[in-house]
Amino acid sequence: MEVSEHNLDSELLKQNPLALEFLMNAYANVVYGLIQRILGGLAQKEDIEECVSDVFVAAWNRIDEYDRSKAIFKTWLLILAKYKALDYRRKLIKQNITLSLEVDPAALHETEDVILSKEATQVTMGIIDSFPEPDRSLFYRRYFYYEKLDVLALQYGLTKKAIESRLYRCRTLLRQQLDYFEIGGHE
Amino acid sequence: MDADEKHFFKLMDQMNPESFTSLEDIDIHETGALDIDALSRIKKKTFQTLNHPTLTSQEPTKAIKKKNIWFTGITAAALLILGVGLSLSTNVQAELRNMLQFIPGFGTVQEKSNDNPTYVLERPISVSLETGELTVEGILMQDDYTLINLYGNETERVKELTLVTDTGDVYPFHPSSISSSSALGPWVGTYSINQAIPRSEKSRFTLRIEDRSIGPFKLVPAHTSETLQGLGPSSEHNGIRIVAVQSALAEEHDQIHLLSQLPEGQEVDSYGKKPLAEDINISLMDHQGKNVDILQDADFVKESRLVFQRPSQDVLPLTLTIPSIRVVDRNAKATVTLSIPEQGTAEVNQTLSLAGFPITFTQVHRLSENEVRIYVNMHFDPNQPKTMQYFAIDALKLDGQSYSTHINESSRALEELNLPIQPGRKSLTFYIQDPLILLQGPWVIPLQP
Repeated sequence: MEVSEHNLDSELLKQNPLALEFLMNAYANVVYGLIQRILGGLAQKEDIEECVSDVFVAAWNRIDEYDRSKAIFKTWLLILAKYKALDYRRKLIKQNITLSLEVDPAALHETEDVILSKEATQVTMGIIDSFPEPDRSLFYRRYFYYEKLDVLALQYGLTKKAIESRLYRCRTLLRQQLDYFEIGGHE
Repeated sequence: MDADEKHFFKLMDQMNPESFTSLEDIDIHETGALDIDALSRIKKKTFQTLNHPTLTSQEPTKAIKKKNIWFTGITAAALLILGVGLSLSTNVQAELRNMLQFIPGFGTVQEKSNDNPTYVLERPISVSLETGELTVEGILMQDDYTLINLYGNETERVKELTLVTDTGDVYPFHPSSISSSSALGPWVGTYSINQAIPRSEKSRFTLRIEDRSIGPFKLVPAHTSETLQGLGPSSEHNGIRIVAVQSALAEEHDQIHLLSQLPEGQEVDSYGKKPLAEDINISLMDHQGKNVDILQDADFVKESRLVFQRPSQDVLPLTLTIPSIRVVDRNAKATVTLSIPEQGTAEVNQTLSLAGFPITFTQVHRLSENEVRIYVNMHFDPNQPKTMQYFAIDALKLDGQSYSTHINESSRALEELNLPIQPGRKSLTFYIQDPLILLQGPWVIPLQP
């Protein structure tokens, strides 16, 4: 059966290798871009490619967790990619610390595997979702998807300064609300 | 990335992945970072890990096989102006090399980057659904990407759609952004595909949204000009040119998009669709001097877009008169420090300048131990070529506390500020910015019949 955007998830569920091929053709670029941004200067090209491959392996193995009613497929895949990239980043930082004679305490802190509770995550997302558009989208695209300010400025037809200003306003509002709920802590 | 930003990156990294519920409408930009050799290596490794033989010749869809979609992306150059809409800053204008194109349905101008024409939807297409209405506001088809703008009212948000060519090729589109004012209210969505779609003036396209088809319809080459004023009739006053781009909206309605060019850091806040001050608002007159009503805005209608019922031919042409425009200056900032009485009212009569305009803080009145009212004279005079009407307070420097303002009902000039103050403090420092400045016209634009 021919694979398309419409039956991609169901064909993956049937473990159709053509669907895996389609998946990689269609989404490798956007997944690669996200992982490259999260790993930043820590990773070599080979690390990034390995991480991208691991995302597709995870999508193949975990497709039964995908719920079409909750998210579009691309969003589900990108969330998978984001957390896979964070795993890689923790590993790479630990490797770099092991190799380095001078250990940066901040870097050690980065390796901590801290995850907020479901409730705290929902509260935080609820606050972000209350931001007016395009601030809400900007916030997710910058801080969840690590998009560059220049790219956001171009995409939203705003100056970089205007993007920074909107994000600053969002951060301040979020910080105030999180303080109220005692979530997130401070630097 | 500064420390503050780092804190929020970290916070978002710590979010629990099992709780994500609302990212479905957030799409991200494809950078085109992946080359074909890297993709081959990723595929090979993935199939090896899963113990499957590598597939080398599988071609998922007729449309996709024509193009390596992982190479495509909306280029930054092409998006240089798209979305700016209201005004073109001087430095953006300076970057324009050849031709400008007006994109109906997006209300924007973009640079023409090559010799291949950009195709656009000439006028919106609306369809009534069982509940509500869906409008294809605009389509922009470039060499390597296509954007579609939808507007929905009282209907479900569209999450995906396909464009079908007259040769039967099918192109899936995904949302780049969807915005709505409320869960059940109107929404606007932009959908994109980063892929070449063969097209010509003879091509016919159909949109498929779930089980509904819209079309077939034609796309036409975008209206192109070397200069902003070449895009439509215009008027210049005090060095500011305003261009009116007129287009058909539906059977009985026309629309005008206003474009202007302002210095860097300045944006048009209002062309006067709603009165800028008493009796200062935009007007549209027919040939007989009779007013043509500009329709009330629905949600998401840009300040620069005017919609009106098309008058009969015998009263054309129409004339658009913009008596003044209001501009916000994003670069202007000033710091204010005032002495505050422990109780009661005190005269201060302190004058400072913001963006070259005087502001006098005349009186302060301590409303309570933690709130103060400040009376302001903006020296607002709509008969002057330029005059300041309002400014904003930098709310981020108020330690999370709110403030309020009061404007004069007639002139709409700022008169009072109510600001928080710490108990016991005898002076107050606050930061003002984003002045709204009225620039007097008029800009009188005779529209094309």
